[in-house]
Amino acid sequence: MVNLNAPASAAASHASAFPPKTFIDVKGIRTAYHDLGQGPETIVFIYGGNFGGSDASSSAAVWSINAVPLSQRFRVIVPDKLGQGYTGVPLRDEHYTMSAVVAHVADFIRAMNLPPVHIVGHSRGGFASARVAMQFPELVRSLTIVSSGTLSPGVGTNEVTLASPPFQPGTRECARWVYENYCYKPDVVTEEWIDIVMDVLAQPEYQKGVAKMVGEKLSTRLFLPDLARYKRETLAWINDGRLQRPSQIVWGFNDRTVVAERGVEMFNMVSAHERRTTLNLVNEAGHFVYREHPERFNELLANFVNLYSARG
Amino acid sequence: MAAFERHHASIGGVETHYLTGGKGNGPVLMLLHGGSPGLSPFCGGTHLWGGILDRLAETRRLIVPDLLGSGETGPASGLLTIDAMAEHIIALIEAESRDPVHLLGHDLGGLVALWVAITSPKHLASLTIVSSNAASPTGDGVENLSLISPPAPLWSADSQGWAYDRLSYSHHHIDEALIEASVAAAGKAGHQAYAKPDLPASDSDLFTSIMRTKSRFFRVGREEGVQVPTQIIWAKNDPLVSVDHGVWLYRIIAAKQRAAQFHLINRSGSFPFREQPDEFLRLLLAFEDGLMAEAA
Repeated sequence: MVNLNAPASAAASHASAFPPKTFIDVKGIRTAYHDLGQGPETIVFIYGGNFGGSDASSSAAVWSINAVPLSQRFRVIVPDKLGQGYTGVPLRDEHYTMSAVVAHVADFIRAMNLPPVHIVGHSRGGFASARVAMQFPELVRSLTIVSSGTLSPGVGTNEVTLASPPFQPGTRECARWVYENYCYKPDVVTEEWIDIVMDVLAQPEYQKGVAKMVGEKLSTRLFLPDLARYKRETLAWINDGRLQRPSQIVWGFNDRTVVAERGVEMFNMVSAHERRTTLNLVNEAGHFVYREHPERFNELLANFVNLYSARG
Repeated sequence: MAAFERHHASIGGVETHYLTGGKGNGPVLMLLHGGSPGLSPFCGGTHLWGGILDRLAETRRLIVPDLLGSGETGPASGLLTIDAMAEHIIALIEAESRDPVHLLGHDLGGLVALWVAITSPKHLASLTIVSSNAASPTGDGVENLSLISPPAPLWSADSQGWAYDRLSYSHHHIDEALIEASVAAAGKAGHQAYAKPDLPASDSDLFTSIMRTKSRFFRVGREEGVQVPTQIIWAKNDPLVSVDHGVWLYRIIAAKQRAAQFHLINRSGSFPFREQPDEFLRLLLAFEDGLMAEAA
């Protein structure tokens, strides 16, 4: 008999099976991505954050323990977003905006010649994914939003929880502190995870974005005020009923950076216009529910994709 | 309909009707239907599950009983209480399954399932509570008028059809099979033992037991906690119980149980497994399969 009460997570072993990245040109942006598995249904994972983060940095490998097991059933594609991971930075200063990130995701899906995809977006990537689903619905079959304060109408507390890490920005200790504070239990933040964060931070291309956002103050001069306007429009679009794809909202119940009530509000907003909406709360999970409980997250996503797969 | 075997057997001293069937390698899934004998304006029983049984049977071995005082199962030998209903279910698990089962309960069945999980966790692989006003905190709630004016006579075809309609987001799932089986259940010994339309609900032993069991559950929630992985499946438009009630039920359990999930289904009233069966099925099975993958 299997003891379901005392699981030992073997998920970390999947990380080593994550295939190396390849590159594709997306309208002049050298774009890194990982391409796993095959099948008629394609999942595209869009991680959080944005270019120019100096305390920590997300990249495609954050989804490794989801992408590898799911690739046994589906084609799974994980790109690095504009100016993040190993993808090039925006070509012009005025492209240091969320709308440029959204356009890059859409252009990437087109450049890859993918059928309509099951897009899964986390945090700021959840915002970008929802925007793609409304602005370019022909590219999207279903939408999964994971813990996205950026898409939530309420107060996000990311900046409160993670304010001024007690370590020098750019150091391993600083990155570890950030991710441990994001998560419910610090021990999910593995050395392997931090290794990749540090490698991204060391990339000269990535540092160009840091220089723009921090050094030239594009973050406060352009990115944040533009995002506020863009978010107002995006929330209005949802309330107008423009989100017309099956939508599941997944939230860590213990996320201090964007509490579970934000997920309930998002469900209320989306479900008013789209029947195929669910809210899914997972206990003992912070901001990275898909790394904190990968097996149950993967099953939830797999069953969602199966339910809303193409009928041919 | 898939081939379910119908059983009439003495379980815990009560003539008990239950179905078994389905195929699969994981733990058996046992389903406890809703409806409170003598209190609900509809008659519960295995018929409430409708088409979901056939779909579950494709990947799960199932045990689906009529609870004490419902369907073709007789009345309790003593008072009809949550304890008696839970002990009856434990006796059925012991009679039919060598290994722990996934236990799912809807409405009153949700509280019975919760009480089985608390009193005998070794019998369960997981617990699922679906749309259960009985299991949620009561607080100083506002009177719920959803079922205040049933057509007479109670438990007739018209009256039960009205009740299902009142409790649903959309009435389209209410079919002749449901009404016929519900009316048939009203004629059985189980229901007859508790059908006292002139007695105020507050005089019912079951009503008193529900309130007492909730109180005991809240104590357990504060102290040792619910010892088995638990998911709550709730419906956005349930006239009997709000989303906030569901989240609070979840919060109480999540305080002590690591593997706890809450799922909210859109455009469904009190019967999400009938009203939105696709979403219900995929959420239920994802939790069980996820637990199996974690344990592997």
